[in-house]
Amino acid sequence: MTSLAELNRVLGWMQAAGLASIELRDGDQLLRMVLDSAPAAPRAAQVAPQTQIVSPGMGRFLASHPRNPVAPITPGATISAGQIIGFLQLGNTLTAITSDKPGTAVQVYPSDGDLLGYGAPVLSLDQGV
Amino acid sequence: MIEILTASALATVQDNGRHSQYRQGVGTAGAMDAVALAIGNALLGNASDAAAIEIPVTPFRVRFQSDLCFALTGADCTAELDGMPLPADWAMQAKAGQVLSLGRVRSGCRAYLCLQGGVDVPVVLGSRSTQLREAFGGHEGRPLRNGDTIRAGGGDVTLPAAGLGALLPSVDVPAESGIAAAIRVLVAAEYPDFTPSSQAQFWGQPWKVTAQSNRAGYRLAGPQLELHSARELRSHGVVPGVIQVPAGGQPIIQLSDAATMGGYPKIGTVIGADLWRLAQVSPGEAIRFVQVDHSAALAAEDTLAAHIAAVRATAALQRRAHQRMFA
Repeated sequence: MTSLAELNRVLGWMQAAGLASIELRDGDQLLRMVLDSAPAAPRAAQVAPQTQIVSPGMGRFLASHPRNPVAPITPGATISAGQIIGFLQLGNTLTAITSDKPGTAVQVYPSDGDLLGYGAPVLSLDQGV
Repeated sequence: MIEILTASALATVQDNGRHSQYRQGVGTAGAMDAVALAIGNALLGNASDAAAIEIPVTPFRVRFQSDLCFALTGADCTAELDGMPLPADWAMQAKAGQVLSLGRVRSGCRAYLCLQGGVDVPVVLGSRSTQLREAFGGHEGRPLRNGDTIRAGGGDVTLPAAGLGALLPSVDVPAESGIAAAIRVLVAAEYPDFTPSSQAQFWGQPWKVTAQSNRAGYRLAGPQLELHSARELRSHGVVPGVIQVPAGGQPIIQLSDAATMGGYPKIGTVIGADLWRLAQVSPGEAIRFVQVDHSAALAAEDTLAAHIAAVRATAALQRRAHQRMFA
């Protein structure tokens, strides 16, 4: 929870949701971000060539569909735009986590069965140049 | 509206069945896999008696003539919406002009295409199901053909952009290798008339679903079942699930399109809660029978109903959450 790109992403969510402050706890690390009521400070330039796919909701992460178990995505895998990269199970229902961009998988964050919250990182993608 | 581009044999409109006309000799018809139908309707928020298209054979292709939410449930087959693969038991929003194609079947043998608001065909004698033998109900009383257009009830449904899916109910019958499904059965009236060795074989041996199997019934092949002595029975009412044993000793399981009467000795009855699983066993696959009692049969039905109710409730929550986020 430290890269500039991630901080920018959280900032974007706060602006979109109209939040004045947010606290994110990850183990013993605490990140607190506060937005002034004044217009938001210019956002830092996008520096990372990587893009991150985040969870669109909350639920239990399933790397593949229970009726069609396939090998989970591993670093180096080619991802196409719109591709389903995992599922979120909530009760007896499933939603899909899709990649909105093409690229090469760099890291898959959750393990099968992990509980994910809204906006939790799922996959980082190298989009090349 | 959807247009049928490729309809393989015997795709029909089915709902939960026509249950009010049994006394007239009109069988129930209705979806063979009622759980697939219920889950599809639950994902879309349709009425639970909404009709869908039962698709026993792929390939099957339809073109959406207007924006429409649909759910594809039942048999797990490769399905694509304009080339984009769909997960199993999945509801999606289709745009006008998009084509849904069902290809290779991975497991099961009947897929269900549910439409937003249900398939809009007239209710005849209390149901929208196709009565194939009597040629009424459903779409013009017949299987669908290429070029047919099917109307949907419509209504307001918003799904998450990437769709919404459901899990199948878990089944507390252990899986066995070489057996497509262990099917739970209650003993029927003539069970005591079978020889002890036939009774033991009935439970102990696998039964192959033969090619002479369809919506009316599954003909099974296995050990020859014998009665103590030949019996003549008067014709009596039979219901889907009843396992009859004709003179040849090879059982027949009566299913959705079965006749309402029969005269063969009945060795058992498949419990209502396992008919959906039986419906997904393909000819050539083997099943085995597991004896249960009446209370276990009722408990299995309760478990199934609870699963479907939970899918319906959580799917409604998911649709509402999505609507709020993107309103």
